[in-house]
Amino acid sequence: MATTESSPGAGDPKNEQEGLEELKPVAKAGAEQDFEEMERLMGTFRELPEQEVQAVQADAAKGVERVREAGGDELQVDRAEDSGKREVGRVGVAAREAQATADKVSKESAGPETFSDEQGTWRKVGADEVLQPGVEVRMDVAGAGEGPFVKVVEGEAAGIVGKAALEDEKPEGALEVPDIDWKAELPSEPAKTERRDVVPKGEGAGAFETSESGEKPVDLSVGIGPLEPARTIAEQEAGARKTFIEEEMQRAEELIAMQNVTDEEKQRKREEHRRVTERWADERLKTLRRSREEAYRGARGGGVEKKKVDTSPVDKVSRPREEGSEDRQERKLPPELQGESRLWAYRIFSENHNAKEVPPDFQLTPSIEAAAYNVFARRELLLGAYIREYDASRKLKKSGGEKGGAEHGEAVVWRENAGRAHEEALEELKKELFKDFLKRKKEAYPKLTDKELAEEALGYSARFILETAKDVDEDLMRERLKMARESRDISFLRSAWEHYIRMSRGKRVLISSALSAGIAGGLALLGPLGLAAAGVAAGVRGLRALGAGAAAGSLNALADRIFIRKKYGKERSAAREGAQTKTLEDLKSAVKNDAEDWIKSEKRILEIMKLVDKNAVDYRKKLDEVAKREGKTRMKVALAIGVGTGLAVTAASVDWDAVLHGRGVEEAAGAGAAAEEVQESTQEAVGAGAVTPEGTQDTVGAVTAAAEKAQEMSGIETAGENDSIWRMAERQFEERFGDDFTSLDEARKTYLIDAVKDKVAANPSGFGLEDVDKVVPGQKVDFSSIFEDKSWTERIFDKAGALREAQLENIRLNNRLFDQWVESHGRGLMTEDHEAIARWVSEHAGEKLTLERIDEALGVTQAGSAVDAVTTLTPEVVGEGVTAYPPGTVPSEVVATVPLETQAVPGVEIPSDVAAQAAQEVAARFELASVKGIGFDVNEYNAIKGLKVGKLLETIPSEKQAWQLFEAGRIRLPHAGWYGASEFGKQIRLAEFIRTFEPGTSIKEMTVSQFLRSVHAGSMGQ
Amino acid sequence: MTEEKVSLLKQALEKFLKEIEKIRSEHDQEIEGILKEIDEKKIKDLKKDLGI
Repeated sequence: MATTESSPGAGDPKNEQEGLEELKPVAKAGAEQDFEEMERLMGTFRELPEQEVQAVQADAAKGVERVREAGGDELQVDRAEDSGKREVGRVGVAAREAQATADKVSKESAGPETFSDEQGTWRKVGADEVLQPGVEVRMDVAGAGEGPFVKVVEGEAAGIVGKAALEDEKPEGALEVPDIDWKAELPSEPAKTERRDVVPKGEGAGAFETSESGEKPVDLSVGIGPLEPARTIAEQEAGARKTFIEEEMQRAEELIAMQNVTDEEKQRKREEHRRVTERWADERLKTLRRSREEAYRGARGGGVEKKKVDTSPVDKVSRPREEGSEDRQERKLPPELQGESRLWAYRIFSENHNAKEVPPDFQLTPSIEAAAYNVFARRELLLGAYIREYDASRKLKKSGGEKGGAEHGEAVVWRENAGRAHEEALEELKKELFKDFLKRKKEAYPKLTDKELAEEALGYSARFILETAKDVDEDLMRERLKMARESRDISFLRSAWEHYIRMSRGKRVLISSALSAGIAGGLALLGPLGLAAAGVAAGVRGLRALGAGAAAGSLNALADRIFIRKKYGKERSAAREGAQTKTLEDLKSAVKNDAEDWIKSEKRILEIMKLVDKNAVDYRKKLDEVAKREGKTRMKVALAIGVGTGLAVTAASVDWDAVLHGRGVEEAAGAGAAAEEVQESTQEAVGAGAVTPEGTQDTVGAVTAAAEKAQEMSGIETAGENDSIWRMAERQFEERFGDDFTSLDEARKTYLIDAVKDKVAANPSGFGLEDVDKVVPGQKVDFSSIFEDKSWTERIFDKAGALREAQLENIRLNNRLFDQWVESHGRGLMTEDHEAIARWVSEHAGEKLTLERIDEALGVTQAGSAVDAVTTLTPEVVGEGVTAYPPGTVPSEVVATVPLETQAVPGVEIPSDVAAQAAQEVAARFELASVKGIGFDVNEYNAIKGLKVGKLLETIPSEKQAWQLFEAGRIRLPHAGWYGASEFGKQIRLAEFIRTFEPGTSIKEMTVSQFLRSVHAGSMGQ
Repeated sequence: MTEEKVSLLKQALEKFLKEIEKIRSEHDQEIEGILKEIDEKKIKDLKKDLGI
C-alpha cells in the first residue's frame, strides 16, 4: 500500500523528497502485493463456493449411503436425504452470499480507473456520463473486451454511444444488441482532445496512479478534457422525473381535496396516485432512452433517420385515455380479426357457439355487420383489459397487498373504460338490429299500422334482441373466465408444480397414494397449495397413464349424457321462457303511455334497448345458476364414474382446471364461476366433518385435543353381558377419541386396546378386578387413571401411527389366527394365553405363528381342522382390490380395507406403507361418515357392506315397492340378527343414496363398502 | 483502498468457510443421530432375541 505517513525526516523538504524517492519502490511493491492478494482472493471467490457446493453434494450422498448401509428403514433414509438436501441448500445460500460480497468489492474496485497501453492512458467512464462531440472513445462491453473506436458525433451518454456503435457494426441478421452495462474508455491525455489541468487531490485511483507512473495524483471525479463534468443524463432524468411527479401530485391533491371522504381514504388515494404517477414517469423515461438511441444512431448515419431528441423527458407522459376520446375511434383491428368478427357475429346470431366457420349464406346488412364488428373489437379490448386486471390483481394479492396497487388501480380504470365502450357498442348493435327489423317488417307487410308494428317490435325485442344481448353477455363471461384461467395458468401452475417437486419424496408418494384413494381423498390430505400440487401431479400422471384428454373427455361426455342434459335442459328452457315473458311484459309496461309512437323516437328506442339489456343480464345470471348446479352435479357424477374406472381416470376426469382456478375466479366471472362451485363441492367431498380439509397432519393435533377432552370424560365403564376388558377398553377409546379412534384400521386399534389391556393386566386389583379376563355383568371398571394420563395416550397413539406395514400386517394376521383358533377350539384366549403366545414368539424369533404353534405355545395337543385353514389365511386379492378372507374369518372390527398396491394403474407410483395407510384412513373416514349418516350400527353395516351394489339396487327397486315386498316377507338382504323394519329402513336409505349417483355397470360391480369408501357423505340427501 | 478490500474479502471468505463448517457439522450430527437410532434398534432387537 502506498503511504507516506511514516516518512523519515518529515518536515525537511529535502529529506522528505529523498524519503519519498526511497519509498516509491516500497509503495509500489506494497500496492502490487495488495493488488495481487486481491486478485488471488477474487479468484478464490470465483471457484471456491462452487467447489464447496459440489463437495457438500457428495457429502450428502455419502450420508444417505451410510444410513442405507447401516440398514436404515425408508423413513430414516428419507430423513437422511432431507438432511442432505437442506445441507446443500444452505451451502448454496452461503455461497451466493459470499459471491455477492466479492462482486460488490469487485464493483467498487472497478471505480474510476485508468490504465495505459501503447496508445496512451485511458480512463473508464460510466454508461450515463455524457460524452461531448468530437471525442474519440474506445468502447468496452461490460469489461468483456476491447470494443470499437468511435467518434462521438453529438453530446450523448456513453451507453448510448456504445450501443449505437455496436448496433451499426453488427453482422446482418444478428440479434439486437441488448441493454447492458456499457463502458466507454476515454483517452486521458491524447493530443486530439483539449486536456485541461486538474487539481490533484484525494486517494482512490489517483493514488494508485502515482505509484504506477510517478505522476501527480489525478482527481478523476472532476473529469478530463471533453468529459462533461457535473450532471449526467441520469441526473437530468431524475430531476425531470421528480418535477413531473410533484406537479402531477399537486394536481391530484386538488382533486382529492374536493372529495368527501375520510382523511384515511384521502391518504390512500394520494399514495395510490403517487405509485401510478411514478410508474408513468419510469415508463416514459424508458421510452425516451430508446428514442435517444435511435436518434443517435440516425446521427451517426447508422440507417436510422435522425430524430430530434426530446429534451423534456417526462412532461409528455401518456396516460390512460378516457374511452370515447378521438383516439379510440382510430383503433383498427388487424384484417385477420375481421374474419373472426364475422364468425363471432355468426355464433351470436345463430346461437351456435361452437361454429367453426361462417356459412356462405350468412348475410348481414352492412350497418349490422359494422355494428357487430364494433362490438367484437370492443370485446377484444375489454378482454385484454380483463387479462391485465387479473394479472395485476394476482400480483397485488401475492404481495399481500403491498405491491402492485398502482398497477391494479390503473388496470381497473382501463377495464371500466373498456367495459363502457363495449356497452356503447352493444347498444349500437341492438339499435341496428331493431332498425333492420322495422325495415324488413315494413317491406314485407306494408299495410301494418304503426300500432301493430310497435307490438311486433316489442315482441322482437323481447325475443331476438334479448337473446342476442344475453348471448353477447354470455360469450363475454365465457371468455372472461377463460382469460382469468389462462392468466393464472402460467404462474399458478408453475408454482404449484414447483411446490410439488420440492416436496420430500415421502410427501410426494403420500399425494400420489392419496390420489389413489380417490380424488376426494387427495384433496382431504392437502392444503390449498398442496391441492394445486396434487392437481398438477394428477394431471401429469393421468396424462402419462392414459392420455388424460381422451379419458377425461369421454368421462365428462358420459356424465353429461347420463345426467346433465336431461335434467338441466329443462331448467334452461324454463329460464328462457321466463326471461322472454318478463321482458315482453316490462316492455309493454314501459311503452303503455306512448303506444306506437315510441318506435319513432331514437331516444325511446334506446331506452327500450337498455331495458332489454338489463333483462338479458338477469337472464344470463339465471342460466349461470343452472350452470353452477350443473358443475356440482358433473363433479359428483365424474367422481362416481371415476371410482369405477380407476384412479388415473378419476384424476383426469375431474375438472382440475376449475378446481385449480377456483380461487379468485368469482371476481372474474361473477355468478358464472362454476369453478368456485367445483372447488366447493370438492371440499364437500371430504365428508361432513369426517376429515379436516387441512389433512392428516391435523390428526396429531386432533388426537391431542381429543386426549384433553378425554380427560374430562367419565372413565368408569360398566360391564355388560359377555363383556371383557378388551371390549370395555375399546368402548372407552370410542367415547373419548371418537373418529380419531374409530377411523383407525383394525391393527392399530388392536395395538391401542392391547396397550390398555396390558396396563390393567399389570395391576388388576388397581382396577377392582381379581382376574383381568373375568368381568361380571354390572361390574364397574374405572379406566380414568389410564386415559387421564394425557402423555401416555398421546404416546401410544403416536406409536400406533408409526407402526410399519409389516408390523400392522403381523397384528392383522395374528388377530385372524386368534379368531380361527377360538373358533376351532370353542374357547376364548385369555390374557395368560396371550402371554404364553408372546413368550413363544419371543423364544422362536423369526418363526411364523400358526394355529399349530399357538397350540404348542399353549400346550394344547388337538388343533383340529383349523390347521388347514391357516394355509388359506393369506389374503387373496380379488378384482379391484378387495381383500377376501376365508369364510367366517372376517374380524368383526375390521373396516374393509382396499390395499392400494392392488390398484394397478399404469404410471402411478406404488405407494409406501405410510402413504397407503394414510390413504386408507381417508377412505375409511368417508365410509364411516356415510355409515353414520345412514344410521347403521356396526353389526348392521358389517352385514351388508360386502353386498354388491347391483344386488342391493335390484332387491330394493324403489322405497314404496321395497316396503311392500318386505312386509310380504319377500326381501331378505344380509342383516344383523333379527331383520327388523329399522334395519331395513336403513338399507333402503343406503340404496336411495347410491341411486342418486345414477350408478352404471362399474359401480354396480362394487361392494357397498368399496362404493362408500369412494364417495363422500357430503353428497347425502342431495 | 486495495488493502481494505483485501481485508473485506478475507473476512467474507472466513465467514463463508465457517458457515460451511457449521452446516457440515450439523448435517454430520443428523446422520450420526440416525445411525445411532439404527444401532440402538439393532441392539434392542438383539437383546430381545437373546431374551435379555
